Amino acid sequence: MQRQNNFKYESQKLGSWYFTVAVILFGAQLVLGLVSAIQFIYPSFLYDILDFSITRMIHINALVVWMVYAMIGSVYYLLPDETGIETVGIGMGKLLFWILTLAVTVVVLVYIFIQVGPATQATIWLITEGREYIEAPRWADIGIVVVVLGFLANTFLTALKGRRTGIMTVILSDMIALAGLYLAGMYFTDNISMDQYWWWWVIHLWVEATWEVMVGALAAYALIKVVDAKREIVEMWLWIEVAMLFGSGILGLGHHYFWIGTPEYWWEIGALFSALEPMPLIGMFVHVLYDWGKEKGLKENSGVDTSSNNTPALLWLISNGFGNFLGAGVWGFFHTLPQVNIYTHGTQFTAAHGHLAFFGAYATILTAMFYMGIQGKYGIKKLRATFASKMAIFLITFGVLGMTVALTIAGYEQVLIARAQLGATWDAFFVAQNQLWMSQAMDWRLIMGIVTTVGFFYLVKDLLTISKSPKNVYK
Amino acid sequence: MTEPLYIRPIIEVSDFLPIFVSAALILLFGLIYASVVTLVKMQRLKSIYMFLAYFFWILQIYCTYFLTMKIHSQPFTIKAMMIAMVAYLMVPHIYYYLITKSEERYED
Repeated sequence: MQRQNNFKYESQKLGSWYFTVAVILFGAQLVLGLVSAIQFIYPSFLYDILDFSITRMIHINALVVWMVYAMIGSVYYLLPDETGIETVGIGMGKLLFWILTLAVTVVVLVYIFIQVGPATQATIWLITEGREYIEAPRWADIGIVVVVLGFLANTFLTALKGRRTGIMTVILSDMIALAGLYLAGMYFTDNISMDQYWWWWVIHLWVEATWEVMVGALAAYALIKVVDAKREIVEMWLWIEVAMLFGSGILGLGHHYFWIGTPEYWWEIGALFSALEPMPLIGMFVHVLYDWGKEKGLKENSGVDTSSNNTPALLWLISNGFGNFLGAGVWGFFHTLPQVNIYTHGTQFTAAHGHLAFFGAYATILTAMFYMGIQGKYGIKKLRATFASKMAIFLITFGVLGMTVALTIAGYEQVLIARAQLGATWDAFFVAQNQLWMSQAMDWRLIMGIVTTVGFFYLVKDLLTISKSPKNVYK
Repeated sequence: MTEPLYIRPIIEVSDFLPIFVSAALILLFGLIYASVVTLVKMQRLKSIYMFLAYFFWILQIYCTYFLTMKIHSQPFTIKAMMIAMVAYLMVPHIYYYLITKSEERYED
């Protein structure tokens, strides 16, 4: 089948560039995750060449950066669709894409080849700030701010000039918060409590507030495109979700302030608002179920084709409903209350929650956006899931769930032995590390990581080839 | 010698599993409650199944109460959680009231 670029707008083309880099970084995340998992079992693996501290750092940074890339790509992709016009300043947008990609490449190369530096300002500026999840050196921090300001200018100028929809309004306001919060992570102080206090503004308020709102807006857009959901209804849901997400998520920040030296009133604030945080996730799950079921019912009653416009995207969208609820909701609520958190904090429970929540809440919806990008690029009216689409979703979901269960078992063992029985001492940590339950859980984590990676290869194959399959494409 | 200061609540080792399971069940029962209400409102289930929804809501309350007891919550927190559960009973109904009104407003 002859394939050609069918994007109506340059902005969508730029969005697909961001998607491409996102997929590459997704692969890098998995590879470095596998290396870290091997090092957990065989500590001498790549010792003194690429230590666990470095591989884990790149594993997590690659995750954050691929998701940011995919989110920016999604906004550039939907912007002309929502506003009805080409993105204003698209040339600058393209230039900023190349600057950002070059900067990310240099940062990763420095992480791999230089790794660490002396405790001086030069290290903070040129190698790494050493602050978990946002390790980028100061020069890259400033570069990121410049690129994001350009992106904000592109988006705002386009939205102001073109049609204004509820989805765009939510995205615009969310992006101000998302970009502004990054500045809190650039504040540096020698006081570790104060440093952590501001650092959580970036980490928590990104992941449990602004990113969730972004996901809600992307899900709303995807539902309109994939199942023909009615815009007015979808946007009404979106406003409720935004209110609930910000209502619970902003002060849910308190659950990170339990043990860093902040006043005790954060215990009550953190407990109450953390307990409310799963509410919007249930709302989002029900929302997808409701819109999908309603539109299917309406089509059935009218005797028209009830199939989705983009089956792979719909499958990922549904897995988002489940994954967000399970990963962010259930696995978060497990250990969010202070009475429990004092035992679980910093155990493998956190890693279990992190794996399932990032996958369920973000990777799913962003992968759905990749498929929408493929549909748009090749002008496909209906896109059907292939064998590779199904294998990708099955293996990645099964692999991540498997890793989560393995890490949960390891965390449970740590809670019982290292924390409850032996009192969280230095020795207790190593006693717990040497238990059979822990070592077997780590073996299973690696096996399930390999399953996830195989699923990723299916995903890449599918993204590259699905548009060539006449059986699965209706133009 | 100064007595050590314990600021953490002492949870019995045997209580950790029930705590984690009940925490998960609170959300799962809450999800089932909301889902059954959704399916009834969508007329995918008969309205008789609303009893099933309320049954899961009651199970959710029980799990919440059980959890707060096991983690030695303060009396005020227990009351706040119970009030939150009553609010949760109403949330899906408020949702669908808004949905119905929106559909009436925007229906072609």
